[in-house]
Amino acid sequence: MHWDFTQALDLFLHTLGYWWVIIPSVLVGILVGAIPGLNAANTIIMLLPLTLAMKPEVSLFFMVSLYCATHLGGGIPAILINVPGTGGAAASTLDGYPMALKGLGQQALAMSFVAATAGGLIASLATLFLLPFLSRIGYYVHSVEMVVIMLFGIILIAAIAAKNMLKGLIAGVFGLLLGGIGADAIYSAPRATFGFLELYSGLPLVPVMIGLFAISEALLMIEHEIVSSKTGAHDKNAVWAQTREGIQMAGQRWWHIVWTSFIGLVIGIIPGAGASIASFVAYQQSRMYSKTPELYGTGHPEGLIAPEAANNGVGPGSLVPLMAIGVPGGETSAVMLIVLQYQGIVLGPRLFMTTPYLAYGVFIAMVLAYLFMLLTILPMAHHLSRITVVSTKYLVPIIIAFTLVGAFAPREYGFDMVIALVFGILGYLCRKTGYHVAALLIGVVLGPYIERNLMRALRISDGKVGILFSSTLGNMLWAMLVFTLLLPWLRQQWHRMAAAKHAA
Amino acid sequence: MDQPDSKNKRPAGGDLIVPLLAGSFAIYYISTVWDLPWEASASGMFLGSLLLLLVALFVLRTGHSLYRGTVSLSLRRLIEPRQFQGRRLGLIALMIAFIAVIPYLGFTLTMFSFLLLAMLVLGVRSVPRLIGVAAITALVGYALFIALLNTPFPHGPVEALLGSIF
Repeated sequence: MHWDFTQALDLFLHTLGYWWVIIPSVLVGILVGAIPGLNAANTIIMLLPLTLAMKPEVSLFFMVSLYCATHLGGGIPAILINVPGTGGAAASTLDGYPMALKGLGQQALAMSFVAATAGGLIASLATLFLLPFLSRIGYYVHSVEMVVIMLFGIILIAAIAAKNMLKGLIAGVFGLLLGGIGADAIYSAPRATFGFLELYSGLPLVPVMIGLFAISEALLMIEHEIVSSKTGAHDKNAVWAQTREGIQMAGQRWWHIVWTSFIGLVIGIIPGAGASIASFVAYQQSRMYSKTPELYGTGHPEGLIAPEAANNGVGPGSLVPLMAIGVPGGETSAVMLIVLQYQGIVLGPRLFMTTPYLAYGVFIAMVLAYLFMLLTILPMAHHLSRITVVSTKYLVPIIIAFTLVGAFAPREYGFDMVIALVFGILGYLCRKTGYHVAALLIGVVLGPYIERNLMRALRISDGKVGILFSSTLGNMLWAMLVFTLLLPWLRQQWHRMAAAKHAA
Repeated sequence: MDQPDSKNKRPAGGDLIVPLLAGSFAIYYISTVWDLPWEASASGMFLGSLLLLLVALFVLRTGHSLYRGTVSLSLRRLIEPRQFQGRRLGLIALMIAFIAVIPYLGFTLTMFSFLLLAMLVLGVRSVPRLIGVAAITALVGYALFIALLNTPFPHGPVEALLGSIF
């Protein structure tokens, strides 16, 4: 499609005409995202009778808006009660929750809303204009490159738990091994399933996440009367002041939002990678290049902005392979593909020529969804943040009850509630003894990905490990990985030399 | 070398629980992949061995600190503050009961019973509040998940009754 201003405006106004679909979808999406266990994919499945009855354009805009909004909604409970609503929001607990503990819940929420919507907007606009180029990324990223990208995630394990590297590594590698539970992809041989058929397809991520974050946090929360500290001012009159402060904090870090949203966009394009990986990688990169890495984990604004922007940058990215080559990049885009195929829409390059209003409209709908989100959610920051002053005597039972059934929702196995409870107790033990639950979760997330890609690469090369260093892009990524590893040491040397020069 | 008295030693007993669990799991994992073809076992063997190595390092480091007298094997860090242990164990027992009875009582009734009993365990004594919060939350859950989103949560007598009315 040849772009000119009139056509772009026409497309924008055409999509804007669907505001009546986008606004309710955004509200449902925020709600769904905030409830652990529910996500865009299973909500679209649950609402299939409604989705299939809609016109193709309406159903696509509905699904896309809902999808974007779940990414933002997942961050709300992550910040307020340390319970991520979606896997992509798990990294937001690292600095978001400490902010809430300090009584800065409202500022943290406002800041995360701005970072999330700006991140989503930037990624949507970038996708819209760079779509022909971005769609090629998937062709260049093969199993070898994926292994290196995953290794970035493993480095992050050590980085997160920098206070005690050995404990961080034990938690991370334990998670990687737990992620390897289930039948292998080639021979379907069961591995470490304890004889449970329910574990043959692997350890389900949602119950694990609910256990490690929600149940364990609830078990700890009972030691306090309320979530927020008493020192944190919760001024009832300051409805807008704290929200404004949060917006300013995000505005001062606009460049941080821009580059971390691009991390989300690029990782989103890679089929199989997703919001969980993108947000943790963005957090790690943000900390790695920060002048104050020691502040991360204590309620540092950059530590919240980075994962939120990346988490929302993933949305547009994950739709690129779907729209451009008809290959779903993740769970939700796979569900979208099924719905659209049912409605007779064939996704792929031809879609941009035959029905540009639909193909490009998807990304414009995303832009509009993020704009509507910002307008609807910001005024709610103050009211949402008041959850941190609700007595834990009421909050803890509600968190446990809703998250336990949330563990049941994705697969409808009662067994998954048992997994949530077991991981809840494990998470409690980890928290009490200084093992980072996020490191354990990253391991569980990355375990199957690394194994799948490593095996694919080794099978192609007949078991020769040299294949891992055989591609130009892969080697560039290796070099970047080594540089990232060495950067803290190099920076330390640089500071030492500068100090010596200064003293001289 | 001065030996710090036991009160000044850092309690490190609790720190060993996760490595011991991880080490046990690594041994179990390796035992399940031992006879499998290399494609199915390579990743597990590598990660399992790495985990055992890390656990061994941690145990050695703790052993060294024990020898130097800077740490003790006390579980103090894990079990304190003690006044909350009863409530915590009560909540875990209620969660087990929740999972066990939800297939029979259904989502709404189980949710109501769990909330009521959990609030009681955590110290809420006002009967109207107990019943009010539990009933409203359970009904909101029913309206949102079952009536609106049609989530396939287990159905019981309440769902059957409300389903026949609406």
